[in-house]
Amino acid sequence: MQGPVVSASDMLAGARIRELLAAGFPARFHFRVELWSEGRWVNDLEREMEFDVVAHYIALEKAYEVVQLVHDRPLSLGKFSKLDDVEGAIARPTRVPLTAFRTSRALYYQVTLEVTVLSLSDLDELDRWLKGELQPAFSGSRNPGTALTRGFRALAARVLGGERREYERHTAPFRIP
Amino acid sequence: MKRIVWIVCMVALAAPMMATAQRADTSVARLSAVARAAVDVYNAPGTRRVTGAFDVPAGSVIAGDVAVLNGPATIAGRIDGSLVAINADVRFAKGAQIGQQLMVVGGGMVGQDGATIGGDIRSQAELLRYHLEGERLVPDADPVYDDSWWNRHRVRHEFRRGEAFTDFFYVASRAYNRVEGWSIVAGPRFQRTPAWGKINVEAFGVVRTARPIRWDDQTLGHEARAEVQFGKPMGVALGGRLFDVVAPTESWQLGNTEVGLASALLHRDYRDYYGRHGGEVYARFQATDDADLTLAFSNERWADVRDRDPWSLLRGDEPWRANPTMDPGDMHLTTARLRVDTRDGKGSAWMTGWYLNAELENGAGMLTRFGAPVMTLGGFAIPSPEHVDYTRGFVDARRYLKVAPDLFVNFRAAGGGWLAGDALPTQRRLGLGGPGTLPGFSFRDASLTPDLLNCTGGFTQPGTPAQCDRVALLQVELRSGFFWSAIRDDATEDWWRPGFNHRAQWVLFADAGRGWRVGTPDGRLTYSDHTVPGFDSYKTDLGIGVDFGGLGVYWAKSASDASEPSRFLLRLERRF
Repeated sequence: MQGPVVSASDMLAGARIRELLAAGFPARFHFRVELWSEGRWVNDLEREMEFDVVAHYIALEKAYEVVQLVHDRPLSLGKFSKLDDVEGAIARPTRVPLTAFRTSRALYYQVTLEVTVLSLSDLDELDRWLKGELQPAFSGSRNPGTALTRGFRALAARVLGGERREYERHTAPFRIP
Repeated sequence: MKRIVWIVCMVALAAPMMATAQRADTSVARLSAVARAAVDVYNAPGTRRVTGAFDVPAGSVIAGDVAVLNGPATIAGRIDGSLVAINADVRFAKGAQIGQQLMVVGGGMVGQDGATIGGDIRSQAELLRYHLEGERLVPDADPVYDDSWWNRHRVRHEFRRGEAFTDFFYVASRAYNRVEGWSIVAGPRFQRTPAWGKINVEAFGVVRTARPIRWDDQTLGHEARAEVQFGKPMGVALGGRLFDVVAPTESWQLGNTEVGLASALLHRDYRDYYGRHGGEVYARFQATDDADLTLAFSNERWADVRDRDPWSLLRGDEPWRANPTMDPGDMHLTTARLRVDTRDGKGSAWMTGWYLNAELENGAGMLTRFGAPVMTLGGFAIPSPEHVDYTRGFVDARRYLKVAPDLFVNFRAAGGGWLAGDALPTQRRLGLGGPGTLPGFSFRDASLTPDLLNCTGGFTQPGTPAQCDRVALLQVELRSGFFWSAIRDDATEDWWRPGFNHRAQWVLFADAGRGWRVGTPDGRLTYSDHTVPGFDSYKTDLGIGVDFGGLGVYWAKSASDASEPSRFLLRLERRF
């Protein structure tokens, strides 16, 4: 038995998220995939797994890089000069190891996708993840700058950006014979 | 444009996957036939390997096999051999030619109907996980799922914000304290997240374990809440609460974990308590998870509660600090609370952002001021019920700044108190001193003259209740990580060291604060309602410590009062 394949398409369709990406704000696509079983009164969460896809702009290379993170393991999905290609990389189907199992209940998968344009400390966190495994990391093109600049960027990302969105889909119920 | 999240449910039977641990196993990769063939072509000596965009213009011819990693590959000309695209899209122009096979793994194809493919077209939708060893591509095994019983238990029972859950019998404990002992809440709870918002219902009974255990309101209580939120992540939530609980008077100083553990282990309770019994309705204006504004109206009865004698690990034969006498009565409260929290990495060593918690409360009702006795010529006056109408405000503002790659400066300004109307009830008065505010001074220590931390004014009351009408507290700290390999800071290595995987930091800190009363100015403890005491009158301390992330050891010394001894502290949370 294999788990579901998850893909998110048209994730950069809005002008705002493209502007933010081009302005240097990395975007994180946080996937949460769940396997539920249907009960008579309530449904039960049986298994769950999360992974991220991060897209960010490397100013020195004038390219966008897309990285997938599963259990903190990064996988570069490439560097692209066009946002359409970035969108294609974000949409790469990913198989999730949440295998269904034999049970008297019907099962279904649900995926929640949270799209966030990152702020400064997320950058730092990613920097830690990627340092030594993917070069160059984010640190190369950043002016360590002033706290004021960082504060404004974080504030812009969080308050003004309106960049956090959430999507949710689920499969039809199915049974394992 | 419509965005789509696809889930393709693969129910085709295949070899059962052994689930052992949630760590990636790179030793063995289970590959589909097409992925294995694509990897073989990629690694073949004669293959032309390309990482990134690859274009074959019209009219150009490439001899041999081509392997494109990440892509995209745009083909308008001819490739004599095979084309392999790994985690890459392939776009064909009309007239494009592939002499042999086309293999696409983890990508899509566009325009292949107008192209000539000499061999098979083989594809796999899902991307290939791999790493490179030199030029050689080595497939990684897909992450496996942790199907252990403890993970199943965690998945089924953990509380997650913003998601659906149902618990018919949810059991939790609130902070251990000297009035209730263990305060166990138990009952059903339910949350659903329909497309239009969120529904949250919970109905808990409260059982207090402090002796004597009796079938009355000293042992039993309740707390029920129903809330409907319209819109998410921005929206309006309407809700109501019914409660019969024991509530702390100043919960802003220390968190529940530290208060509970200090009580249960060390026989030290850093809060005072009173009973609240009544109901509340509220409206909360939610602006994502980062900010909300709540307007609440409650009608409740306040009760004085006595400390009992719950168990503690150490000093169990010592008496507890008495729970101060509070002001019982019936009150109507109108409250506005604003919360703004833009912090990233909450609780972590690299936390940055803003935090603001502001509250404005108007209370009106009948109270008997047992907690603030009035001295008369004949002794203490016997209080009688009186009408009370007060307004109180409190602000806790924090800024967490990263000023260098591994250097953080954090600021906190907290304070507030009486704003208008009658004198504050004892439940709403404030004090400073102790590990949560000024660690260079003792908690509820009234020995200072004048007592600028608890404003006791020379009257000694059991439990030393905070009696300040207003307080102001300023805190600053400098943090940085240790460049010391002996302290592991790899947060992902939680399999061998659960709970101790945060980045260790040294901390330098300074605190300043004081409380005062509002009334006829005496230049020392009491000031007029429009006056703020000069900073030179503030109590100050300095300190240093090591924060291991969730466990901190600190040393603090008063700077304003040389006679105060230095103090060591063990904190289980960040200072603020």
